[in-house]
This record gives sequence, C-alpha cells and structure tokens, in this order.
Amino acid sequence: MCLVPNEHVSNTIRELGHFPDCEWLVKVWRSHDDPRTRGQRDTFVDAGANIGACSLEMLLRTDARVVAFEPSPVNRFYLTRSLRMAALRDPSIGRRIVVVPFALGAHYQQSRLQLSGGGSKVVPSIAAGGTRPKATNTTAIEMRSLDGTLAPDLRIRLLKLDVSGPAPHAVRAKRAS
Amino acid sequence: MRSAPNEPPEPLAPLSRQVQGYECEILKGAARLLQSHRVLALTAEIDQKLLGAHGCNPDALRALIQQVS
Repeated sequence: MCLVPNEHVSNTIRELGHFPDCEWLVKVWRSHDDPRTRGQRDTFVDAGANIGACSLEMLLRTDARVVAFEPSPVNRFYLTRSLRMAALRDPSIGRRIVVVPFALGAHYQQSRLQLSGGGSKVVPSIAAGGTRPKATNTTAIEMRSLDGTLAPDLRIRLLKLDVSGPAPHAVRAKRAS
Repeated sequence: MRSAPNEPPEPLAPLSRQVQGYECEILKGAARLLQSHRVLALTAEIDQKLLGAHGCNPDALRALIQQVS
C-alpha cells in the first residue's frame, strides 16, 4: 500500500500492518450478510476514503463493490496507486471499485479544498458562496450529494462517514425491510 | 506495505481529515437514499466540536437519520 509520510492513518498501518477501524467495518459488513440476497453484490460506500485504507481492506477481505469518495487529489494519488498494486495481484479489484473525485454535501456546489496544515477541509467562505479566500494550497473541487451521485438501484450494505479517528461509533444499523 | 514510488502531484502537507463535521450535510443530501431503505448500515465518527463548527451536533445528527430513514 502507498503510505503518506508522517500521517496518522499511514503511521498506524506501518506500525500494525492495517488500520484497526477498517477491520471493524469488515465485521459490520459480515454481520449484515443476508443469505436470502447472496449472489447479489452489495456496495460499500466510503465517504471520505482518504488514502483508501478501508476501501482496500473491504476489497481484499469481502466481496463488496466499493464506491470511494475522495476530493483531495493528493489522497487520490496514494489511493489509486495502492489500488493499482493490489490489482496486479487480483485484477478483479479494479473492477469492483469506483473512485469518485467529489466532496459530499447536501447539494451540488463548487468549492475549494484546503490542503495545508495537516488536514484537508472545505474552505467555508467559498462553500457558502462567499468571496475567494487567500488561496495557498487550495484546490478547486465539486461537492455533490449522495442522492445526486449514486445509482438508484444500488444496494448499500454499509455507508461509512469517516472512521479515521480514535473510535468509530455506530450511529445506526438496520436491516432493510 | 511500502511507500509511494513517486512523489505526489503537489508538495502538500499530509492529509488526514476526511468528512468530519460534514456528516449532517451529507445526510441531508442522502434523504432519498435513506428513505428508500437501500442502506443497511451506516457508521460515522462523531466529533462534537467539528459537528458544531458546521451547525450540527450529535443529537441533531441522530434525529436527522431517524427522520429520513
């Protein structure tokens, strides 16, 4: 896997060989396996894929199709190179993932992503339609909604909204009716 | 594991923050998806400070999920 120097997720993977929060996602995925729908391929939506630690773990350890949203071109650099390396071993991996270069929000808007300071975040003044910020280390991005992006027939077994921090919390898990 | 074979496209600082604080906005944009019951499970990391910076809080986030699902 391609790893970023001196960054939390990458440092953890270097130390442990994987990112523990992603392992928890695999357990959630398996806990929602439904024998009645086996054969239909479910989707894992990674909203904030970062360098792809969880997307890759899901690709390698489950049969999930993956939609990975990552607006940062730097994160996508690492993510796509890791995917290429993984696809050399298992070409099916490349067919099971789509990397989407958008940020997610309530609706479509153009914005800018601030890339400096050890994190990436949407620049608020632009996100709100305000004036252009002092643009150093920012990049233009598009924000889109999940409703406006995902195909209407996609069955999503797991939607992840950022698990990069200290402890993931299950907000809600429910069976489809 | 091994490091990137090439330099990244821009000489930028490491990135770690993802969609933290934007969860409410993202879910507002996923109302139809959640109402359709096509999402079996949802996980989110909740950071009160970051949620608050975007005009949301954990209770509002839970209410939003219950409202649309």
